[in-house]
Amino acid sequence: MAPATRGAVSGRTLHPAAWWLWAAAMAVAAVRTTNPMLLALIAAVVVFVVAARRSDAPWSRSLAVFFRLGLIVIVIRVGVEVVFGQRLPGHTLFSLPRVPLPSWAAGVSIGGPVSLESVVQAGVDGLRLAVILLCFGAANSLASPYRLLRCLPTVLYEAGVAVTVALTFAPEVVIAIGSTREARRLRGRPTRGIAGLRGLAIPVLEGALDRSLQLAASMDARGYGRRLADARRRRLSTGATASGLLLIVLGVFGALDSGSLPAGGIPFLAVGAALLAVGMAAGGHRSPRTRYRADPWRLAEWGVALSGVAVLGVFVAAGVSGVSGLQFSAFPLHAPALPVWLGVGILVGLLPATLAPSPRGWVSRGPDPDPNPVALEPRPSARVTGAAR
Amino acid sequence: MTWRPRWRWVVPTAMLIGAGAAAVAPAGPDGLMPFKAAVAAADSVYVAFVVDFGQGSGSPQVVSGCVKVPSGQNGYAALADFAQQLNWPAPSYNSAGLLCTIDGYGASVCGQVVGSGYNYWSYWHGDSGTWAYSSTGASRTMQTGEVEGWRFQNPGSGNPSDPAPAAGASFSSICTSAAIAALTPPTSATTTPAGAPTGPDPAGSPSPTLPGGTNLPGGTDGGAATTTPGAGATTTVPGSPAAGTGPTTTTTTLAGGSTTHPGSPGTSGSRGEALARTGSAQHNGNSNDVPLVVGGIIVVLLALGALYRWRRQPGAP
Repeated sequence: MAPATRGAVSGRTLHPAAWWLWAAAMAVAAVRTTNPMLLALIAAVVVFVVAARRSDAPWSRSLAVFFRLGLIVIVIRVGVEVVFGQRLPGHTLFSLPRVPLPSWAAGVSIGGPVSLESVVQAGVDGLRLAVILLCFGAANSLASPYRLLRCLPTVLYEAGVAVTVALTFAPEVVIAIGSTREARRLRGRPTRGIAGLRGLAIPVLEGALDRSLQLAASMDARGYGRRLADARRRRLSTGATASGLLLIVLGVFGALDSGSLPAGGIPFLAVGAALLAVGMAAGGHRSPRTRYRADPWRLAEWGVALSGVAVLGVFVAAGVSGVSGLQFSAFPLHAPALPVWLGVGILVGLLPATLAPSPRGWVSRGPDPDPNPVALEPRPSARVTGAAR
Repeated sequence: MTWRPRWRWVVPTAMLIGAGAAAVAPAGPDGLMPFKAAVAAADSVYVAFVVDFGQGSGSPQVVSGCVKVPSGQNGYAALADFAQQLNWPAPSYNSAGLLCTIDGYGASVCGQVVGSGYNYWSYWHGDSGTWAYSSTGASRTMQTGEVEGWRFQNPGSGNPSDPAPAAGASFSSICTSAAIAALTPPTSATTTPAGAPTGPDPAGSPSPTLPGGTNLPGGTDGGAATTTPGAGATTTVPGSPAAGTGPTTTTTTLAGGSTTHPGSPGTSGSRGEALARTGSAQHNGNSNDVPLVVGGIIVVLLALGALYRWRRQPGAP
């Protein structure tokens, strides 16, 4: 590895944006395929990288939570298909009692024959969603949400509370699950099964939102999102940013659903990006910021981000050139194909497992150096676990 | 921590079950009858089918026929029965349930965007005597007298202004009393129409196994379809009871004057020239078994490796 990173290998965490880029690229690759074999490969690669490079931060268990969430998604998807499915003909497994529906409810069914094909197809659909969730969980496991918050461009400070809650809610849920379960265990309450879930859900959701809001409030108190004195400039900045983001959303919609917008939404993306740049430039000079401990963007960050982009690039190229194995349909039932180049392309996503510096040396050296006050709070789960043992 | 039933859950559950039963009760005894039992008990219905392969403006090719389906089946199942009756491969659907191919014919990409339109199979109802574009899927329950139309739009705009199947939407002229009578006696006629006794060459090309399809040369009107002009067509009629169904139930009409078409074994192949036969392309997955196995091994190895590293406490050297 290059000298620039060698010194850092044993003692730093990767830039959070690099992890998010890598995970987002893997997730978009999963969106672009319906082949269960490719989806399984993506999931395996993501899980392996997380297992190899997670720290012992409380949010590093996010992946396990999202894994379970993915399993639930698959079960729900299959259940919905069994009860309300489209009833395409196939190998009938069993039949549910059928409820006749009026003619205006065409397209919906309640009960009826359940075919093997429809169950397989629903499972694959659920798997796709589960893999996307897994990628999101991987990003939450690997990247510190507080460090990510610091990387936000200045313009987004206007929406400080919303952005903070959006970025930190998932990790806070994971932290809250851990602490609530420990607390219930110490009180002798059930933590498993349906009874455990009932006692867990409300405190976890409430606690996670509370913690996110508390973080937003504490950041607000420290001057995060301080308003610009020049009202005209502020209006320009806010207006350009908002309309730019709106156009980008439209453009992304057009890019994903080809044919819905002229030229695949590219003009929308371009104009939106230009407006966003104007907004950033206008709002950029609002208040000087200093950083206590800057997150460097070095060779390892480039490697991690580019490996994700490479995987996505292979998928986009396969989609454009019409590789048949990219899509899978269980009607008629057949084994999925595995296009060799797509499989090799996904394995490129494994590179972060060696490219990224191991966080372990850094962790053993001491507490989280993150200056954020919430991050420096005692970790309830870790402390209670230590006491229980 | 075992879950014990609590009495306070009993009353709401009982009410829920009661409400469900009350909702289903007006539907009659059929409502809760398991599907298979309903199929066994109920009689069959006759559905007229018109499948228009929409081959451009020059040579539209329309296949129409009468099919007997068990009552309670939806339009997709009836279409599958129709395809089976003609010894076509089963219709294929994409992962979203959109119909991709009939007789292996369809766009190489399901619902492919072509210019400002789409290559897709449009679905029509012809019960009223005229074709009505259906904006919902074919999941309604089939009843005798339904006329089901499928037309390939090449490309179409995806709304009711797309051209309808180029054949009359008339149940009585497709499912004539002779056609119904021909379908009635053999109970196996709908499920295995011309299976075993298909004559000398059952494994041959699709055209000869078409049960007596009267393949008319170009320029002949569909009205005269019941007369079989070519000797080639009559020799392929199987000697089973299904043979009688042939000439009356299936008429392959050529209105455009294509000389390349019917009678020849390449019937389906000539359709497939314009667009890829995606149905058959999907099936030859046998040659791709090696990467599949290798990929499966890689997935398992990665999962085991991840599990091993996950179990180790992070932070330990």
